[in-house]
Amino acid sequence: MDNNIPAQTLDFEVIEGLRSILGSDINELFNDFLQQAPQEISQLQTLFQNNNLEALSHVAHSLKGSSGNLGVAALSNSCVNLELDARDGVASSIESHIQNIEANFEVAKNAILSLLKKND
Amino acid sequence: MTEVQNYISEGQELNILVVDDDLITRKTLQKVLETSGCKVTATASGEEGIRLFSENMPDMVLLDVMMPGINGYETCIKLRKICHINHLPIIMLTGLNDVESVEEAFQAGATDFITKPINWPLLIQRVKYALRSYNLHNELIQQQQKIQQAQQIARLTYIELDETLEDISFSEELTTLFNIDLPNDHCLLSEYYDYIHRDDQETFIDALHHTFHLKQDHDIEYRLLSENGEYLTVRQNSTPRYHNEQLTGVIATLQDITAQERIQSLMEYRAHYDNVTELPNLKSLQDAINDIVLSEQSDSLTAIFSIKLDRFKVINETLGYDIGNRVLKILTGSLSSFTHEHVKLYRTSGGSFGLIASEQQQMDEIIELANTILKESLKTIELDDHELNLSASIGIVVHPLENSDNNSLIKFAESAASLAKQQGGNSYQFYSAEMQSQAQRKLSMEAELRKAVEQEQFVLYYQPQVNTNTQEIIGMEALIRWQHPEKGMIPPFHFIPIAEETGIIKPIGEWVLEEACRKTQEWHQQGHDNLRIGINLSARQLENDDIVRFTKNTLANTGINPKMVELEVTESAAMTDFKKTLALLHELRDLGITLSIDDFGTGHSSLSYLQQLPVHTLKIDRAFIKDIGTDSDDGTIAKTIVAMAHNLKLNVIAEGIEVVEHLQFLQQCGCDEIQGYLFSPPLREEDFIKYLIKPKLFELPRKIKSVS
Repeated sequence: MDNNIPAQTLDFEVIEGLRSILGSDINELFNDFLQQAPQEISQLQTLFQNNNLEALSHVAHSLKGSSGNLGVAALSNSCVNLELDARDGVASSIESHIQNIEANFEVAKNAILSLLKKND
Repeated sequence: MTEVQNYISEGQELNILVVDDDLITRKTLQKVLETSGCKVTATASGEEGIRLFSENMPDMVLLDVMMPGINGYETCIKLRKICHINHLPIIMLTGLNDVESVEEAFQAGATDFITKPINWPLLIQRVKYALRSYNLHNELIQQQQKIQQAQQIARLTYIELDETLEDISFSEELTTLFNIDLPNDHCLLSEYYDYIHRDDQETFIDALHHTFHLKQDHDIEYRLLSENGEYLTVRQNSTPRYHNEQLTGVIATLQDITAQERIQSLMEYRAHYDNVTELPNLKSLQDAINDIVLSEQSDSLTAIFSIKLDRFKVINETLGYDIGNRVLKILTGSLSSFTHEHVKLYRTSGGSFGLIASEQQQMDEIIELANTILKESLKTIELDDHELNLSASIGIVVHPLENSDNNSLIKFAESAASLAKQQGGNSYQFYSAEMQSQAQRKLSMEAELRKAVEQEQFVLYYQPQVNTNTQEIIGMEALIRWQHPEKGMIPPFHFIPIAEETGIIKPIGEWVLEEACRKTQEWHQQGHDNLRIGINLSARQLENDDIVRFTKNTLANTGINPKMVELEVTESAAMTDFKKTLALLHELRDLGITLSIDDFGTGHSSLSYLQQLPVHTLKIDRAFIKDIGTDSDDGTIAKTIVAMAHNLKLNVIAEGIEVVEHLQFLQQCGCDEIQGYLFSPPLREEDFIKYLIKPKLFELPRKIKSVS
């Protein structure tokens, strides 16, 4: 385990579990994730500006799922709060949740990239 | 082979449908499952998932709950509706790990659920587990189907009763098997009870109580009224039901044994009844006589009749068993008309019936009954263009005048019937001790006859036949004698009837035909080429057309001129099955030989029959000749026969000419030919040759012959 990466950023139990099954194929999934997540995050911002909270909740759910299933734990957790508040119409906290998500993604992205480098 | 593959049978690939709207999750699922050896179809929406399901018929579905469009629960419900396998695994992927969503998943028809984030190694275990239980479920269903099939074949089902013995539960087959109308799987005992035959209801209730209270198995049979109004026979084996060693009721297996019972009773019926006439059979007769013998009643008589249809064997052999059976049925109908409480009819074998007349007071009654049977049996019937003249021979043994075991009594009656038959049929005969020894003599004679055929102990005698007017010898009749090594010469009437009865007549008849033709041809070659040989055919020889073939071969082998061969057939033989005989006689005549009717006047042939027969000669029986010239006979019958024969353009020969008055008379009435002791007895061949050279001649006053 790489000590430079905060423990909650990546859930290594999930990642190792997946790696035990897929081996190096796991890299492809992470690359896909690194491509798709920024798109979803920018979607979140657009939807927030349009005040479409329902659709925003769905996108948050989706991001929560994909990140969680790949062991990107901190990001997934931050999506939970956004999904619930957007569903319940708590508009006031949405902006800070999105900022949290953006920050968590940046950290996760670095961790994933170094993980991918290591795997090569 | 990968882990999941271990759980599916060889050569079969596990097809999994993945429905998840999130691309990354979907792709991850697909990769993980494919790496584990599955074939994966993945889609993002419930609608598309349903379409792909119908198209691919996957073995398992992984279904996300939260999706745009129709969600996972609704998708699951729809999949269950279109899937014909109830237990096909559908695993739901839920992010919400709360009791309600799990509950909702199961209510929608999910087999299992997996929470997100997905624990991937666990996912594979879950898929394996779902697959294993799916396979087990399939096996179980197959087993159940097999058991059900077996039960259906065995017509087996069960009922269970609780400890009140008032509620009954049962498998679904019960209602279909017995065709009764009960609710699906349980009802009140009384509802089932109502279907049971009134007389069996108590037995049924007793059996259940016995089983429950005495804790013992109890087997019963009862009748159950099915909805179509038929009674079924049900065999019920009940046994106490226990749960944790606690008596909780009764369980009973039920089997519909109606068909088995029917077969059983049919077999019993067949063991005692004849299947052609439906009369009780020999076994029944033996049983009935046994009862009579054992009862030792002596205040009345019991007569046991053996009724044998004359010539039945011939009918069977020449016209087939179908006609034979129909004759039996017709006769059964006639004879059944006078059976009653004390007169019982049985069919014992072939053309033989048995009859028991009990409670008879006098021999007169028995004789009257015998005469009635003879009268009923004597008839002409027409079947498929065959005209059959039926008659019967009856043997009677009277108990307790004759006392023996049942089988001996039947044998006594049968041997008496055989004697009656041998004496010409259409008569009855009482059994006596004398018959016994006669039967034994007959048996030993049969054995000797067979030996005689083998060793050719027979010789032919020839009796000259002469032209009535010119007294010229025109031919001779071949007559057989048995030259017995110890007993000397035996005349035909001592052995021919037995030979006829046993069928030995056939080789004897063939020998006669061959020997007579051979000898006659020898004489022809010596210059006596105008001699006609008369050879007797037995009725038995007319049973099939072997005789045609044999005669043809004999004519060819001996080289004799067929015109000089005359085969003699008795009137009664010709009349047994007229149409059949007619055809046979035509075939014989077509060989170029001539035919004559022997013993004419003794049978009961009508003129119309006579006209149809392809015969050349009529032979007047000696009975109409012997008294001519005495006070008792003015010769009218003989005269009439001659006139009639001439009208039919037939040649007439009279036999039994013993005195010169016979010759004179027959000359006067225009009889063409004569034969008898007046001219010569039957002669050995060497004596016959001598006679040819020096025949007898009688001087008679000239008389102008009347021409036919």
